[in-house]
Amino acid sequence: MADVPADLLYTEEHEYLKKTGDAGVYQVGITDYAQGELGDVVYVELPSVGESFARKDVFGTVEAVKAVSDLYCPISGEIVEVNTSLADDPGQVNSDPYGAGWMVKIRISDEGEVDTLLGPEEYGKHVG
Amino acid sequence: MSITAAGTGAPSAWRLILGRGGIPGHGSGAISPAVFDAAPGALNMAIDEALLESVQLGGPPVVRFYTWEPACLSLGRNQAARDLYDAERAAAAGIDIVRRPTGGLAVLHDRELTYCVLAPLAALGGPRAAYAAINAALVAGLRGLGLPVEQAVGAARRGPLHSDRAPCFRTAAAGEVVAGGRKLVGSAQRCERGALLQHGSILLSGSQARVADLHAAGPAELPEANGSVTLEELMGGELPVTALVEALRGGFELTFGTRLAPGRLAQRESARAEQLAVRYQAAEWTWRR
Repeated sequence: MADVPADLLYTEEHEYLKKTGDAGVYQVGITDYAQGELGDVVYVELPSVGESFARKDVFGTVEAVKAVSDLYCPISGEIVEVNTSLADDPGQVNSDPYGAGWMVKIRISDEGEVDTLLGPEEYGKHVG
Repeated sequence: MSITAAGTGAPSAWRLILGRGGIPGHGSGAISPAVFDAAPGALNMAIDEALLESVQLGGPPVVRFYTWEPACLSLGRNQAARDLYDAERAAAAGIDIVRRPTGGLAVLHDRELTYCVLAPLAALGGPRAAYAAINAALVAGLRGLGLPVEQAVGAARRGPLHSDRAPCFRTAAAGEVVAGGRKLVGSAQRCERGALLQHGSILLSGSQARVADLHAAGPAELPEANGSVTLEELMGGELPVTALVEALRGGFELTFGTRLAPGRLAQRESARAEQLAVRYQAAEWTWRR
């Protein structure tokens, strides 16, 4: 059974949003369900700090033994930090998707978009 | 990321596209050698991507079989290639280089048949289930020719992509099609907006060891064990491509409970493929890493 933490928000495309200590800045990654569906992650392509994305824009890709999947930005905003440790250890996405396997931190541009995301119960139903 | 999508399951017939997709199927659906007009790597990748877009727009699944001319080294989407492969050495050998939209490592497309499956992810149960099902279809088709093939058993966890400088056919990942432990089919996927593209190379004859000749540092030492095998070795002689395609078509129809109906690219798909081929020809894409 996939882990769906109660304090996060989710998208149908299997990204999650997690508050950080900075107001308006959220951590983004893929969910435990997603990493399980993908298999062993061997590469994560991430944007640069300073790049901006609209909600549902492709902000990177994740590759898991042959399969490349797009990463969709859950919320509009500017990238303020990127998890560079994934370059040498992409397996963190599998072993700790909500912790060490985080992908980017984003300063959101429209708090109203937060309401479009799924709560843990809705996402739990989405992944069955 | 795109690993599931709402859908109503597989439709009753899938499309079958051969080569460049410009020639319709003949009456009964039999496959003629004339339909196999090989294409350069950039156009082949562009046609695959144009067909993926059709599936994203709600079109039925597609199976495409095609060949390459000139011979071509295809790189995985995220593979570091700039310091590894030498474009001049490849050009001198008459070998093209293209970067695929799919993951994985380098494959030399020469004396091989490439298959491509484009389908809604929901119809195939997600990327890993799709990988298993498509490889099962290939196994079913190849066994129909009497070949002793199976899917490789699971291996240890793979390390980061950059640590793997060997070409695709050096080793078999779990689920890949092998004969006697040696790799016959190398496949790779892309998942995008609820649709899947999986394509792979079925080795007819020749040797993937030529990939080593294209290394920037000079010809690499050959691996101690030959990780790949060809149909010619398994059958003790050459198999006509049309016979292989008919067998694989049967494998897909059996495994997915569908019919593969021969057809051609739609006008929109042809035009789109011409546009996309420009990107696949661009050095900025090919040598992005």
